[in-house]
Amino acid sequence: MRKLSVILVGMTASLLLAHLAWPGEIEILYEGQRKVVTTELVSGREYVPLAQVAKITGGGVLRDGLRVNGVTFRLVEGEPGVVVGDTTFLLTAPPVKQRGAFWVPVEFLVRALEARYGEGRVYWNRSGGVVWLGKERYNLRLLRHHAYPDYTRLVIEALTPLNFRVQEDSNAQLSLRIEGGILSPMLSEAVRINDGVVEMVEPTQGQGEAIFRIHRDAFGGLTRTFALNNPERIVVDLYRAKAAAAQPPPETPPARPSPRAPSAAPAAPPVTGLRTIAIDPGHGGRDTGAIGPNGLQEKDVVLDIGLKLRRLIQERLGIRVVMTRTEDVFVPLEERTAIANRAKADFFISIHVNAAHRSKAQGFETYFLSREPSDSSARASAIRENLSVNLGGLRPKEEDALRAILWDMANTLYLKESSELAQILLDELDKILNVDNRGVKSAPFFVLMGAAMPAVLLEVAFISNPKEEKNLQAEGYKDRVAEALYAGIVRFKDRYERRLGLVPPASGRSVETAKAKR
Amino acid sequence: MAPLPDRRLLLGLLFLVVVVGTLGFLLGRVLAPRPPEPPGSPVQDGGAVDATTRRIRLFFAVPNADRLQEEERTIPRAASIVEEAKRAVAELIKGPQTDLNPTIPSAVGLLQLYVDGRGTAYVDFTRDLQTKHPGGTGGELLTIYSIVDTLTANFGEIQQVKLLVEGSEILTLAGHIDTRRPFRPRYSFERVR
Repeated sequence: MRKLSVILVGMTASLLLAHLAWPGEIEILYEGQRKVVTTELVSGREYVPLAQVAKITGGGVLRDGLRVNGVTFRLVEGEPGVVVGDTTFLLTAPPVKQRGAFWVPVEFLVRALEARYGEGRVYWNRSGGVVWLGKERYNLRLLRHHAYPDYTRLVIEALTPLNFRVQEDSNAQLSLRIEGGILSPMLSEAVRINDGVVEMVEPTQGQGEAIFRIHRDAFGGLTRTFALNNPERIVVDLYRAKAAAAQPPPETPPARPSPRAPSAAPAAPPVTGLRTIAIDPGHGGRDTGAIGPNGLQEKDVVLDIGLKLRRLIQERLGIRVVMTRTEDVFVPLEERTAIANRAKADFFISIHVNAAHRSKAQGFETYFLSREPSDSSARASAIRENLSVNLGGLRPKEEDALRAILWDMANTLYLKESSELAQILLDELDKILNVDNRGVKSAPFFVLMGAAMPAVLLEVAFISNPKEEKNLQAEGYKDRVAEALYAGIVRFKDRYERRLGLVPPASGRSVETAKAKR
Repeated sequence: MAPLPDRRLLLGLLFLVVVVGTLGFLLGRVLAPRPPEPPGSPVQDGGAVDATTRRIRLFFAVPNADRLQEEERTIPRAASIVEEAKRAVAELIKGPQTDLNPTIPSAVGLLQLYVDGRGTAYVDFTRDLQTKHPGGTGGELLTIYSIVDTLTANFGEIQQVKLLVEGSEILTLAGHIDTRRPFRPRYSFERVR
């Protein structure tokens, strides 16, 4: 088994060029064999069946994962963290289940092959759709990036701990130099990001080092670079120049509203402040949500209210609205916050109607996320990576403890804003609707877990109550609900921008809008 | 006349009898069914009526669905905590006998229940727990916590509860509350602010 007929890198390179990769196929070259696996697109990403991965790697499918060469990969449907022994790695998209069987993103195949043949030997040409075994070993595996509201994170996955340094080449370019770094073919091409912070990252193989040239969009904000272990990662956080003003900046004065002349033409909209709102009408498609005693379906009611709310915001506030769905389609729960995260929404509102078994319950309530203390290790690891703090010099255990505390603090910030938003929306519903006000509550909602922003879930009525079901059938009632939510959003926007110092007290456009409404 | 048995052989036999006897006694104690607990002693028993039955507290929904309220029921004692916990869940599925509201669709079946060494009860239901669920955040909270509260309030060995459907972990019951992790008891869903 050890005697592998390894295809040399040079040979394969020419093979790659000759190979015309059709989307939907992955070619695997190993042990003198050539296998083709058909892929399927799930939420825009290429997936392969776990059973195929098992077949190729000589592994066995478990109920909750895969076992290859004595290594067990534990998978959870919808959870991007994969647990391997006592470590966790993140997939770019979570495993999904189709007809009861797991499907995994293509890179999982690469990981499984590494478990079989050793890390650093499995090469992958993503755009070419080819995976092959090579002779040379690399130690820098891949680059991931993610845009957060005020910074962009680049993560370089390494196989061993490596020394690195960052140098500023110019105002708009940084170089990350990794000592002894050898790039995998996954890092052979420049990665275009263009998210308003980073334009592009260009990896190059130097003599005895690997260099990542980071091209920034315009002026550079603050940068932080640090290493994480288990698995080994080098992380570069590049802050948005505007947000960096909130940090101790070298020369920029603190972000204060300059007293603008009242006659100033309304040329450019304010660059910062509240810009994007994500609205999530719950359920959809095959997921009907709750059904009323006379057959009214939750998915239809909440889509109506969501679309009405979007129109109000766009017409009156002129800010961007991102919808998780605009028609009767099924959208997986984890995809809903992913849509909001990608759009860098400032907050996330999930609209639902309530139900309870044989109950006379009626009224509205608003929720924000609370977490149960027992986090799975996969989630804890995913969360840890979200912390942009360099904790060098600490022992791993102290580091983990401190990271956990810091995450709690960051999370508390979202919780505070989320609970405020929940309260404001509740108050506005209370003003307009003449049913029970059931208060602000908290619970561990699946749909709110992944939100990198304040997030709330609203239950605007009990569809299981015949009287409320009748209310929800009337356009006028749904209009009133949308008006109440709109009024709450205006109030939250005002408060949010005032806190950022963008709106001087007792003036500003959004306040006027709020008054004009009454 | 048979020769007198060797003294050493006699001693050896005696030793063997003692060893086997002791082992048998110990084994018997280990394998013996758990003796019924003395009536009325542990608080979580809710006070046993006699040695063959025990009173338990079941949690159902109050009419306006924002809280769980207990209802007492007498169940036959069983040989183990796990068997008694299964009976408690079966009673929960049957629904309330007072004017409280049920929390689990009546079609749902209990497939399996086990408790691990760390006080987590795994409760495995039929698919109906999801497909027949009325939906809604309120409805989901009532279903989840009526099971969790009933098990933790009656059985001191159970500190938290994880729900399964047909042997597998589920993400949610009907699209709201994350059910991938075990739950600790919670009795009210009243406002937090």
